[in-house]
Order: sequence, then structure tokens, then C-alpha cells
Amino acid sequence: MNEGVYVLRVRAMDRDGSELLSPSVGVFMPRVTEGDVVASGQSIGMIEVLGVRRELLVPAGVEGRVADRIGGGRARVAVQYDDALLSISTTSMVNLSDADSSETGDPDGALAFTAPMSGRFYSRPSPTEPPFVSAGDVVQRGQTLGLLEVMKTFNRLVYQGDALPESAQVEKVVPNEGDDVVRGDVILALRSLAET
Amino acid sequence: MKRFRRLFIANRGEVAARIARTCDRLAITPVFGVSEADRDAPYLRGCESVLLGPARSSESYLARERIVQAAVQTRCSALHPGWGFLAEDPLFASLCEAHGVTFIGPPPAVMQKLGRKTPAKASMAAAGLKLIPGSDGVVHGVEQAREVANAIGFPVLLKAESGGGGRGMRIVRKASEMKAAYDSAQSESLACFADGRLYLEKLIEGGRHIEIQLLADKYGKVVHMGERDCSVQRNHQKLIEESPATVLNDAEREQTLAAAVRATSAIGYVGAGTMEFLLDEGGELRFMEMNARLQVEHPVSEMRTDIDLVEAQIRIATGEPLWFSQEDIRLRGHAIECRINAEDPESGFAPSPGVIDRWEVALCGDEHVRVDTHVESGYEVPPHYDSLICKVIAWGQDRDAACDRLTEALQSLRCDGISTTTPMHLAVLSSKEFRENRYDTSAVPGWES
Repeated sequence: MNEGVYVLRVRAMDRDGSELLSPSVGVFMPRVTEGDVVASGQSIGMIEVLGVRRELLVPAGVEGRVADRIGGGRARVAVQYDDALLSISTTSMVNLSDADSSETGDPDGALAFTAPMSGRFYSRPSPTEPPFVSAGDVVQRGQTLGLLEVMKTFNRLVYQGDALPESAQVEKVVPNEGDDVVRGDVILALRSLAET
Repeated sequence: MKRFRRLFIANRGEVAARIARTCDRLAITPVFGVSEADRDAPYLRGCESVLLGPARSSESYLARERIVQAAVQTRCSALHPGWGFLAEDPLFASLCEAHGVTFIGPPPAVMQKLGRKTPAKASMAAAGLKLIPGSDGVVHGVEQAREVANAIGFPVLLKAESGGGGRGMRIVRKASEMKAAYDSAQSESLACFADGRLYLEKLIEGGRHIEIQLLADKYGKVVHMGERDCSVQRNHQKLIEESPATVLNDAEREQTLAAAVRATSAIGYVGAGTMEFLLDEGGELRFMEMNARLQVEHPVSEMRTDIDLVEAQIRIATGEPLWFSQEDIRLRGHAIECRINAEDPESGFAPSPGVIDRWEVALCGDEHVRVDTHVESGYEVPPHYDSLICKVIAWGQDRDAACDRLTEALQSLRCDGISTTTPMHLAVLSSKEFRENRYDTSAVPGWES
């Protein structure tokens, strides 16, 4: 059976290189070998998990020559999650962290409500109900903003904190439904009402 | 008879370390399947492990195909699921068997029957156990739940058809509360068990939670290892468990133990299992559910019988007939266990993940105290999984002796960096309500919360 694809994750290495990481435990069946040039969107082979095979695709921004392949010349290699399947000697590579820089340079009046602890974020009380807050809403001190699942218990995220005003307008709910967040991650981008 | 040389542990934390200890004693090589969040955990040191996927359980500890693939490619002939995660998932058990890996647990068909709570209740009633009044099978929607509740009378308890561990459970005191309770129970059940179906039982308030430990081989032989009282609970989460249940009268104990053995045999159960009962005001034990797995509190029964339940599970799975009979099992003295969770009892039991700067337990070589844990100084309790970090179990000639010994052990426990439930346990153990057995599941004795 051949079902679906995995877009590989990349780990940047020290010198002009990167590694393509296994998305799962399983058997890696490579389609490229040392010296081959691989580029974004290309399949480097398949991973088989209990008889189900998925294509392994090179992610955006990666292009280069295969410098090393796991398991040497073997056609089937048992791998675990996060193993480096290929080492790529990069000829050109987009910096994957570029996406993060859009968060900087906040204009005046920008505030943030951050995660008080690490966990999984939910914006709504149950999958069939509307979110607690949406962009454009004005939130008040004490209001519930979302849920954080920590150690299998659901905790309410309540609008509070010394650095935040009595009320503020929601610019954006940053994490997607069910995203894992770590302590300090921005949950809500807010705008103070006095400034607008 | 076959023998397992390599056994895959499809779980994490305390139970994974617990299973590995018995494997070591039986000269079986344990192989741990772990998530990225646990890859550097101290209990894996010097052991074989394989990385299944990222921290998220759905891509690691709940990813059936990845786990079985990992067991196969690490050449394991058996798999122990521990508790929680996939321990009671018949689909997972079948998948193991289909790929030549012996699943250590009951046959998938039996598990399926027990995992659906309402058919399980029907089987137990047929075998002579008393039930709690409730819905006949699952309820279809809020309206029907209201109708059933009106018929049996409020308050009622909504429970997850595929549930366990107190998840997806809600108390409903009047008809107007039904919708909100139903919705939240349903979404929690869906999140925890991928099954949003609910059933309904009359809420018995002020009851005690009593359970019976059972062991069955593949040839129909069943024994019990006595009962446990798990009535110190908060929001249906057990905190302290002990054996025997001294509140139980001897006639009810003997009668229910015998009926539980009969029922276990009647449903074709194999392996270690636990029947949970509610002791009502009339002193009668009413069946709630049977858990088709090893329980967190199993050491309490091990301390009284000197039977290693994990060893029994493994040997039964190889096809060995039970090597002792009911008469050989001597239930000695009193044993009691505290679950140490990474939670802050002073602020509503808020989760307290983080780095344990310093971890110390001074046991002074006391053979009657047992500490089951996977943590040590420097360990980081990850936020992704449940909060159990340690269990301390003590044995004594009688209840007071066991409680005193447990208190002493807990006082020697040092855990800096995160909050734990230890202060609450010490308060409970020294409280009059607990020592005089005047409490029930509705409130933690000796602790205001």
C-alpha cells in the first residue's frame, strides 16, 4: 500500500549543510544515493510503517548534494524517529527561521498575552462551539481566553497580568487549534484600547 | 512453551520503569518505545530504546502502527502496554498479534467487551454481581439522558462508554445542568478515548471505591489477590490505595470475591484484571467496571501476597498455567500506597511540570517500604503526559503500622524544583478522619481543597 506523503523536517548543520530527518519509526527505502542532487518537492524514497508506505519529500528551501545516507548502501534500513536519513551539502538554502522575523517591530500599543505554562492550546470550549475570543473582540480582566491542556487536564487561560491593561482588543489568536505551546509563547496579540 | 527474550515496552515513565525491573529479573531484554520528549529520560540509561515520534501522544505513545513497527524491527516477541495509552485498546492488541508480537493482556475480544462499559455491566449482572441503577446501554443525546435521569432520580453521573481514570465523567444534579455536563463530558471523552458516547448511572454519594485484583490463565483458572480500598480521591482520581478494605464486612467481602472470580471465568478473561465496585450505604458492593490491564495501584496487592503481577502477566502470556492456587495465596497484613503527582495541592492541584533540581528518598533499607519511580535529580517532568512521578508503598502488620511507616517514608522524600502532592498525603495520613476510616470518595479526608 502506498498512502500519502511526509514532507521531511530539516536540521541545519554547522557548515553549509543540513540533515533530512525521519518522520517516524519504520523502514526507510531510499531512492537517492550519495552524490545525487536533491531539491525541494522531490521524493528521496519511502518509509514503511507496518506495510504502509509513504513518500518522503524534500521540504521547501532545501537543495543540495547527498553527502551521506543512513545505512550505507542497503535498500531497506530500519530507522527511528528523528534519525538523519540524508545529509545534504547545501548549495543554496533559504533560512527557515525567516518566518519568525515578522513578529518583530511591533507598532505602539501592541501587547501580548503569553502562555503561563507549556501545554496544548484550544480556542474553544468544545469542537462544536464558537471560540472564546476572536480577532476584533475586546477582552476584560478575568475573561476566559482559551484552554490549555497540561498533563491531560484542561486549564482556563484567564486574561490577567500586571503588564496588561484592564481591557484590550484582540488583534490575532496566534496558535492554531491544538498547537503545542511553551511557556512564554504569545497566545493573543493585543492592542491597548487607549492607543487606538 | 515459548519464552520471551525481548519485550517491547509501549509506555513511559513510572510504569515503563516498573515493567523493565521485572524483565531484568526474568532475564528478558526490555526495549522501550519512546517519544521525543522522553528520549533523554534517566530510566532509559543503558537500555535499548527506539524513538517512535514527537512528544504528541497521537504520533508516539498512541500511534498503533508506529509502535508495532518498532516492536517488529527491534525483534521483540512480546509487548507490554502498561496502563493508560493503548493498554485497553483491542485494535492495538489485534495489530500486535497480527504481526507476531504477543500482546501482554487479555484477548482482544474480551478487551473489546470490557472497554464498552455497558455490555460489560450486562455480563457481570449475568454472573451474579450487583449493579448501580442507570441507563440501559449508552444514551443517545441530551434529551434521552434527561429522560433516564428523571426516571432513576437525580443526582446522576454521566460516564464515558470507552472511559477510565475518571476522564469524561460529570455529575449532574438537576435537569437544567444536563446540557452543559453532557457537552463537556462528550468533548473530554472524544479527546481522551476517541469515543464521545456516554452512559448514565445514579450517583451514589458518600460511597467507598473498592476493587478486586484478579489473575486468570489461558485455561480458565482464576484467582483473586484480595481487594483494595481506593476511596481517597479527588475528582475521581485516586490518590491513596490500601488493602484490605477494613470498612468491608467479612460476609460481603467473601461473597463478592467469589462472585468476581466466577464472573472473570465466565467472560473468558486472561491475565491480570481489576473489578471496580462502589460500596453503598447499605454495605453492598455494586459493580462499576472491569479494567483489562495492570493498575497503577497494583503494588498494594503485591506487597500483601509477594506475587509479582508483571511476572504473572508475562508468564500467563507465554501460555504457562497458573502455578499457584487460591489456597496458596496468603493475604498478609496491611499495605498502603500514595501517588506522588507533580501537582500543587496548595493551589487547587494545578499541574507542576518542570525540572526536579533535587530528588532524594531515604529508605534506610526498609524492606517493607517500596518506592516506584522513574525520576531522579535533574529530571524534567514534561508537560505532555500525566502527572504521576512516584509511588510510595508501605506494609505493616495492621493499618496503623502501615500508615506510620508510610508517613515516615514520605517525610524522608525530598523533591525540590516542582510542587508535589506529598504535603497533602502527610496531612491525610495524620488526619483523624482517615485513621478512623470516616470518609468517602466525595472529599479528601484531612485536606481542604
